[in-house]
Amino acid sequence: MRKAFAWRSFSLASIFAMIGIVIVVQMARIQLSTEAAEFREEADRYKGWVENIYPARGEIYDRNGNLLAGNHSVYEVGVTLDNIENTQSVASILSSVLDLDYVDTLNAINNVDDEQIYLSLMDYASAEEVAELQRIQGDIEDDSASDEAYDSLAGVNFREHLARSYPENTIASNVIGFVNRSGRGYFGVEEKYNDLLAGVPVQVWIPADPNRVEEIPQVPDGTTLILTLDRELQARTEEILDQSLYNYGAKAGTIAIMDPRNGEILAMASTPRLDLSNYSAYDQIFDNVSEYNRAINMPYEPGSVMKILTMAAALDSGVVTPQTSYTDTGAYSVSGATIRNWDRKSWGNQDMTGCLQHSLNICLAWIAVEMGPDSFYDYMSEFGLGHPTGVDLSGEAGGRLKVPGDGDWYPIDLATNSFGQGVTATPIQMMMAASAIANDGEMVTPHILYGMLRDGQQYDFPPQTAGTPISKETANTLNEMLANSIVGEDDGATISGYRLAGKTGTAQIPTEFGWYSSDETNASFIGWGPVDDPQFMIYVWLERPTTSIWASQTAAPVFAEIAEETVRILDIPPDIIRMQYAVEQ
Amino acid sequence: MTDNRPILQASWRVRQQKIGAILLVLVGVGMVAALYLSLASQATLLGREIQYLEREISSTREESANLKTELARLLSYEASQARSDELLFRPAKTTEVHYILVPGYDGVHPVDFSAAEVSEADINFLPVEYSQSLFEWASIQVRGGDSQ
Repeated sequence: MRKAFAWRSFSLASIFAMIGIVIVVQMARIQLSTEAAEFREEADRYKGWVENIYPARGEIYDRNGNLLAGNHSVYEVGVTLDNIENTQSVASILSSVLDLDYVDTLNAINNVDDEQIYLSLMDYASAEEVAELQRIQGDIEDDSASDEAYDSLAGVNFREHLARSYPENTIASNVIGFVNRSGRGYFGVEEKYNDLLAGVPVQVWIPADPNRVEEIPQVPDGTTLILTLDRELQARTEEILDQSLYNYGAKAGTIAIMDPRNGEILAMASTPRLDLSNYSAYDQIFDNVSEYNRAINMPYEPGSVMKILTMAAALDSGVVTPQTSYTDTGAYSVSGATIRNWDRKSWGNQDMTGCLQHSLNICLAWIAVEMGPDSFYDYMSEFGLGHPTGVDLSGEAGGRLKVPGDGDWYPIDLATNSFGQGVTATPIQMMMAASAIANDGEMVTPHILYGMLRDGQQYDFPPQTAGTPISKETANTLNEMLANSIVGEDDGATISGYRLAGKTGTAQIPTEFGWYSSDETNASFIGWGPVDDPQFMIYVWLERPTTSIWASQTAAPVFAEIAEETVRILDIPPDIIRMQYAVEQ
Repeated sequence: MTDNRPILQASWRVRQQKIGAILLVLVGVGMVAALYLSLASQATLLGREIQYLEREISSTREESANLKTELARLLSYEASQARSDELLFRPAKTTEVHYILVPGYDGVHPVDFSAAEVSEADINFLPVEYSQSLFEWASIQVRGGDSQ
C-alpha cells in the first residue's frame, strides 16, 4: 500500500520537476533569443537619454545694477513623427502661425529617415507664437470631442529654452555686442567675455531611473558681469552724439567718457548703432567691422589733440618750461618741408601756454625737433601710441606710430607727428595717454568690466596702471596750462561753475592719393575736469563735420554739453561747493 | 531498578519545531525584504521628487529670467523717459541743481550684488536639526532647550 503511494508521489514529483525544468529552459530560451536582444535594446532607449546642457548665459549689468543683457524664454517647435495624425494640417497651421513655408514644412516632415523619431521645424519661436499654437491645439481637441474634425496638431511639441535679450535695445550696443543663435558672442563685451558669459556646455547622460538622479551633474550658469558703464550717462551721450551729427552735418562720430583715476569707462557712444534685439540687421548698418565701435576699432589722425602729449614730453624732458618763449614767424622748415599754422598766419611771441591755446603747429614742431627723435618717440611709446591699450573689448585696433628705422619714416614725420599728422590712434588710446596728465602722471588702463558675480560672490576688479610716462609735477603743470588755455580760445568748451582742461583737434583727412583733403576734417576734443580733482575725461570725435571744419566750433561745444550732463548725472558739485566741503571736512 | 531509556520527542513535535524554524526564517527574510522594498520605494519616490524639483528649479529659473527681462524693459531708459515725459518732468540743468552737505553721505557707489545674495541666504536658512548630530539634538532636548 505504502509502495503504491510512493510511486504516485514520485510520479507527481517528477511531473512538477519536469514542469520546473521546462520553465527554466523556456526562461533561458527567451532570455537568449534574438527577440530578447531587441527588447533589451528597446528598453535601453528608455533608460535615459543624452542631453546637451547649455548653461544660462550670464547677465550683463551697468554699474548701477540696470540690466543691459539678460535672457528670456523662446521655444523650439518640433514634431514627434510617430504621433502625427495629419501631416497637411500640421504643416498648414505651423506655417501660418510661425511664418514658415508650407511646402518646405510639409516636405521636411514627409522626407525623414525611417529611424528618425523627432524633427525640429523651428527654433526661437516667441512665447506669443507658441501660445497661439497651443490655443489652436486646444480648440481642435474641443472640436474633435463633438464631431469629426479634420485638423490635428497631434505630434507637435514645444521645447522651452533661454535666449539672449537686450532690454535697452540700442543703448550701449557698440559696447555690449550681441549673441547669435548658436550662442556665440560677437563684438564688445559679448565677444571679449564669451567664455565667461556662456559657461561650459556639457553633454550628459540623463537616467530615467529616479534612483540614479544623483548622477545628473549640476551645470553652473554663465558668469554675470557688471560693467563700468553708467546707463543714464550712456543714453544721454548717445542722444547728444546723434543730435551733434545732425547739428554739424557730421558723417559719423564717437564720444567716450572715462574716469581718469581708474580707467573705468563710464560711457562710450559710437555711430551707427545696432538694435541688439534685431542683430540680423548688422549687414545693412555697417560696411566693415571697424565701424562697430569707432572709439576702439578705428584709428585716425587725431590732429592737434596730440599736442598735449608733445607738450607733456617736452615739459617732462626739460626741453621747455611753461614760460619758454617762442617767436612764431608763420613758417618753419624741417628737412626741406615747410610747416605752417592752421590759419597760415604768424602769431609772434608766445609762451608755451599760448602755443597750446592757439594750437600753433609751428611751435609744437619746433619743440619736437628740439627734443630730438629718440626722446620724442620714446615718450610717445611710453604714452602707449602704436600699441593697443588692452581695453577689454573685442577688436581693439592699435593705431600706427612710425619711428626712426621704419621704412616709411622720414625726418619730417618728427615735426608733423608733434601736431597729430602722420600718426594714427584710436580715441581710447588718446584717452589712456592723456590720463597721465589728469592723474598725476600715472596712466591707467581703460576697462569696461567693473566686476563679476559667481556663486553669489561679487569680485570687483582693481584698476590697473599702464605706466608713468611723466612726473607728477609735469602732469600738474600741464593740467594748469590746459585749463588756462581753454579759457578764451575755446570758450565753447567751458561750463559754468567747473574748471575744465582740454584741447581741440582739427585734423585734415589724408586722401587715398597721399595728400590731405582741404575741405574735410576730423574734429576732436579731449578734456577733463574738475581740474583740481579730475573725475571724468571726455573724448569727442566728429567725422567730417560740414557746418564748420573747425573743432572749436563743433567738437568743443559738444564736449561742453557732455561735460554738463556728466557732472549732473555723476553728482559732481561745482568747484566752489567742493572747496567749501573740503574746508568743512 | 532505574529505567535508562532515552526520552525521544514525539515526531510531530520535531516537525513542528522545524516548520516553526523555517517559518521564522521566512518571516525574517520577509521582514528584511519588506524593509528593503519600503526603503527602495521611498528612495525611488524621493528620486522622482528630486527629478520633479529639478524641473521646477529649471522652470523657475526660466521664469525668473523672463521676469527680470520684463522688469528691465519696464525700467529701461526709454520707458522711464516716456513716463517722465508724461508726468512733465525734464532733466535738471546744472544751474538748477542745489547741493547740500549730508553728513555721512559719500556719494553713489557701484552696485554690489554680493550683499543681495547674503540677505537671501539669511532668509532661507536651514533649521539646525539638519546639521546637528543626534547626540547634540538629544542633549539639547534633555536640557529642555530650543534647538532653534
